[in-house]
Amino acid sequence: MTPSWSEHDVREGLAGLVPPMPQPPDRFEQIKARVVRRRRARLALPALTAVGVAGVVAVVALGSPFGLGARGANTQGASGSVAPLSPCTGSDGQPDDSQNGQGLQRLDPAFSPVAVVTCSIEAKTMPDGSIVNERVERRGSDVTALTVALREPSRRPTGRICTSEQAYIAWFALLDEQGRWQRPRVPTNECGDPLPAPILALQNAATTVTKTTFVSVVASKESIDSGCPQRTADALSSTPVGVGPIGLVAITTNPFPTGASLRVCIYLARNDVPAPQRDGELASGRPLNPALSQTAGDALAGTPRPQTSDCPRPATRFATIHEVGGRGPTVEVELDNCRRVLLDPDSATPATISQADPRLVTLLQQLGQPLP
Amino acid sequence: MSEPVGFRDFVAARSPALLRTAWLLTGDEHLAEDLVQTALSQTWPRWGRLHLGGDPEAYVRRVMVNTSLSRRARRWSGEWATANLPEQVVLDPHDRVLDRVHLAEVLRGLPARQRAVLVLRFFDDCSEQQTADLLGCSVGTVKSQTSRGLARMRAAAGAAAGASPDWPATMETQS
Repeated sequence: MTPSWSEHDVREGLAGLVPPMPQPPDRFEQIKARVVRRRRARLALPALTAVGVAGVVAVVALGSPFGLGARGANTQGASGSVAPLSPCTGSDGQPDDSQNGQGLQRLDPAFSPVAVVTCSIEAKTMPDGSIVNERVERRGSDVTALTVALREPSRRPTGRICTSEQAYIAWFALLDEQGRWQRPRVPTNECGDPLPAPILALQNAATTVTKTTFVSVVASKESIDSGCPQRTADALSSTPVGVGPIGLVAITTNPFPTGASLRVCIYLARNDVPAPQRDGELASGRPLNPALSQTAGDALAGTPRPQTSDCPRPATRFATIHEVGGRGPTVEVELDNCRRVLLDPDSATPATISQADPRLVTLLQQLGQPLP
Repeated sequence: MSEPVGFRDFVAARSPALLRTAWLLTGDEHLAEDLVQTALSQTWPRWGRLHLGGDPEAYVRRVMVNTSLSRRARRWSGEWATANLPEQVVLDPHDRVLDRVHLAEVLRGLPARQRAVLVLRFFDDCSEQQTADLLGCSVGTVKSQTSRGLARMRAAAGAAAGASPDWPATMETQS
């Protein structure tokens, strides 16, 4: 390295600096656990204020018998299952996440596990660069350490002050020789937290993948090439959250800043999904060069005020236009039927609806096609 | 608890890239994972509004940067975790190829905000305006921080190549 480092050198250097890092398969569940923990902590706060810190912390540490409070998810239980069923199932392709939560019982003393099954949703990169979610079932037969750890008694609450953290435990089930399975409750410490031994035993259990099932496309090749999200909400199918009443107005000027680089994404609306959850699946899209960005922005200027915001027939296709990088306004244009235009300037300004003419629709359909 | 539409897919698709940025901001694999999860868990409640806007990743990166800056007390301890012991670095004054180990040391020595600016500008390819938006500062501040950061890196390179060092080893404390 020399004092003549250029910006290019720095870019290359930084790019080569980051070591390969493992991607935990349960990252989403860990994030979900954090969100739950934060919400529970918020719910617990008013109670702490009202009743007094010391007393309520003791209640939290003991675990509320009514399921309220900052913890208890690992210790509530009433439905340990022993049944000849395939354990790794979920109606929506997702494993039940209640291993960490309610409804489980201690491992039945009469139940003799011979195998463990874990289930998780994992992202997989395909040869073409696309990313899919798969449900992965793993099995292992060395369950001695795990069984011993699960048979440990839970610690009795001591009344000491506990934190509101909540450990994440992967979904798992134990099977016996008859193929029956049980999802046991994990023994807990005096704060209601799972003991580390069963978690470590589960993590260290030798398992092999026995089944993978396609769940969903995370990012198609089109999405990766274009930079467009694979799915996006059909904002016109409902009043956008948090932006207040929608005004019916004409767009008189290019809503994007001069020189802004825009991206046009075209989606096929999933009209089988009821509003307001309706969304669209990416059909095509691409970032625009400066000239085409200007063309797209200018084409929005002069979009007239519609007669009504109501639309009896939702669009089957819609386009989104936004700045590369995500700043600035977002525009959604219905490409058929009512051809409404939703302009969402920013998070602080109410959105507006305008009326697209056929020329704008045609232009966006052309701009949204990938380059050959 | 209901799961926001598309959030799981977003986590799966963008986490690897976010993790790389987080590693450059923290210098540690575990802190990076924690930073990513922290930012994503704070994004979850706002997902509906952010998803509507088209690019929630900018928000996640903003949370990551701000969180990393607010965790100054947990700043790098001065060591980078590497799988192998680095060999003695001998720098060729005419070699423009950045040495990984030395660059890591130089980056570690930068003030946290300068480090964030360089990572955003030269690793995430953010424009000066985007970087300013993410950091909540002016474009002028980004320019000056970029200039100072590059100058320190060049000075450090010069020092390593035999020139006089002109920046203190305790630079971290000056941010």
